[in-house]
Amino acid sequence: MIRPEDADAMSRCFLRSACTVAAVALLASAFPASSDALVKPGAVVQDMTLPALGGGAQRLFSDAKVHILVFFRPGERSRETLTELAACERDLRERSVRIVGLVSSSVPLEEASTFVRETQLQIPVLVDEGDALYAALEVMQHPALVMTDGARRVFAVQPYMKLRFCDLVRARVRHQLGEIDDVRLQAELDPGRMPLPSDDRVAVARRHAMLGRRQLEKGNCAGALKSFEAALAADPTNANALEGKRRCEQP
Amino acid sequence: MRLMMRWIAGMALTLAVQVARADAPRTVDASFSRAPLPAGVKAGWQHSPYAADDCSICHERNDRKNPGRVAKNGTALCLECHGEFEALKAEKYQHAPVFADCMKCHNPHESQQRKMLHADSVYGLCTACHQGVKSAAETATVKHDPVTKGRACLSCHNPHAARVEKLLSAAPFDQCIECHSRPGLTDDKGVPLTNFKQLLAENKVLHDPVASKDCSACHTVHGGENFRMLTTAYPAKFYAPYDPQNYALCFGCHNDQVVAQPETTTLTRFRDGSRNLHYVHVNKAERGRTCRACHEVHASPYPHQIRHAVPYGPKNWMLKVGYEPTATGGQCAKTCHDTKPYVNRAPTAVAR
Repeated sequence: MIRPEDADAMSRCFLRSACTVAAVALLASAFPASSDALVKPGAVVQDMTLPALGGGAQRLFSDAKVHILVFFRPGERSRETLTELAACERDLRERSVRIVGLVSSSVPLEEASTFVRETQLQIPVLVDEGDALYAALEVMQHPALVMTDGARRVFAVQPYMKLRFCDLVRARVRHQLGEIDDVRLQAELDPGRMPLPSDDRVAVARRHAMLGRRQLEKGNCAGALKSFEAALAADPTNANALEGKRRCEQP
Repeated sequence: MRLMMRWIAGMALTLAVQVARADAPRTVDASFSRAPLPAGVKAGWQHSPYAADDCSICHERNDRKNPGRVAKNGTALCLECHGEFEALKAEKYQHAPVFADCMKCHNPHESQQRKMLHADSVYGLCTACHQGVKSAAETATVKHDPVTKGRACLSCHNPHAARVEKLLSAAPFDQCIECHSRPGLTDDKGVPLTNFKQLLAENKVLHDPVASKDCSACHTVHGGENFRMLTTAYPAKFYAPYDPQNYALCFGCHNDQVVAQPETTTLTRFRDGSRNLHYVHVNKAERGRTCRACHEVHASPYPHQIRHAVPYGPKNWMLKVGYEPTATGGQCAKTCHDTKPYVNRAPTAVAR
């Protein structure tokens, strides 16, 4: 006679095993059983059903236009990433984006649940049985984000970053959704150098020219002339300085 | 007994430093005088209207001794001439004082510092508020000179607004490489530092943090406790007894199970069947090969940043790693050991 609690345990075990077999089978059809199954942009991730951290099972993919698969394990860097992602997730909530956490079955479920709860990231978390998906995609690290489009095609893989993590995730998602173009995406990925005000010679000239104009208004041509000359030293084409200097030099 | 006392003293000192750092406030609201310098103190930099004796540009009267109130309060007056700062409101990251009160940082009359900055140095000004940075920089075991010398904070940060978080003037790597590509750069012991421009020109397989331009992923930039300001421990030598704590830097991202599991078909491709070769090489009580024995940390010509050669022995003889991929896995040609191929396409059925 099987006790109800044993029957429950057996059916959960069967479900997990069935999911693992299905996952491996689906993955095997997508990626040949070779050592070159390294996920690259363009690769297609097969859909599958995995056990959910809170119980039951869920499909990996929905009909969202962008999926972000977050591979993580309890640890400082995953904590930072999931906490950052909690802020990102709020920005992305209004968009067709599904964020799914993936944790190894080797992590005790209670530990994984507590860890996710502490980061305040509210996303479905699925259990990657035997690291099957992690291995098939050759993620190789935690945390890591595998980002796919509506056809489950990988368009970006985002590893841990101390700085700019949310900026880059948001930019990649917005680019994939067509909200920003290639130029804007590149500006986010490679922001270039932000100049200091003193680097902007045109602005420096404008300030001196403005001071000169106000000095001229008060009848202080001697002072104004010095200001206009300082403006022209910074920007010889500053029209206000040229005009002001001409007025001061008029007999 | 003496050794134990020394150990206890060392631990107590470390704990005291940590407590002091934890207690130090990260940021406070410092304030400075906005008056002209005292008589007899030579100004290095003067505000143009003040230098021209045109007090009425900002004040009620053109009377240096009694100019009266300023025409407007706060930043509104400054923006009348310095209008280009309005555009900074559109930037993603803004320094709070900029749009609250310019005079938090600038003396409106004159100063001994460039740009009429308060305090006696850029470092002194910034750390008047950012005391957490001051504490980190001054108590660090391994110090970073650009933090406290020369342009100091302005070496890396834009004090007004920026497109990168932490008010960085550019992505971390783009900042770092400005110095870390200068020929002849050395550490405080005279050891040459890597020229990263040259390194990356010659080696195209980049470690993820380098590809992401995120030096901060592994290095603490204001100063740190570890060699090369690494955030956590990283083995300094070719051999080390295996202890996961010693690999905290790598295991922050990389899966520690890749070294802990003797058998695997999922954690790594560096395996002969299911025999985990990371485990074989690294996980030893005495002479474990550290990550640096085989992997470059920044960039390499080979996949997985495998090294071309590694310094070995007291004279740092360059021992070639000799890695080659093969049709069924890979091999390392005879250097450390005889040429040994590995096959990673099917689990092994034979116990070694």
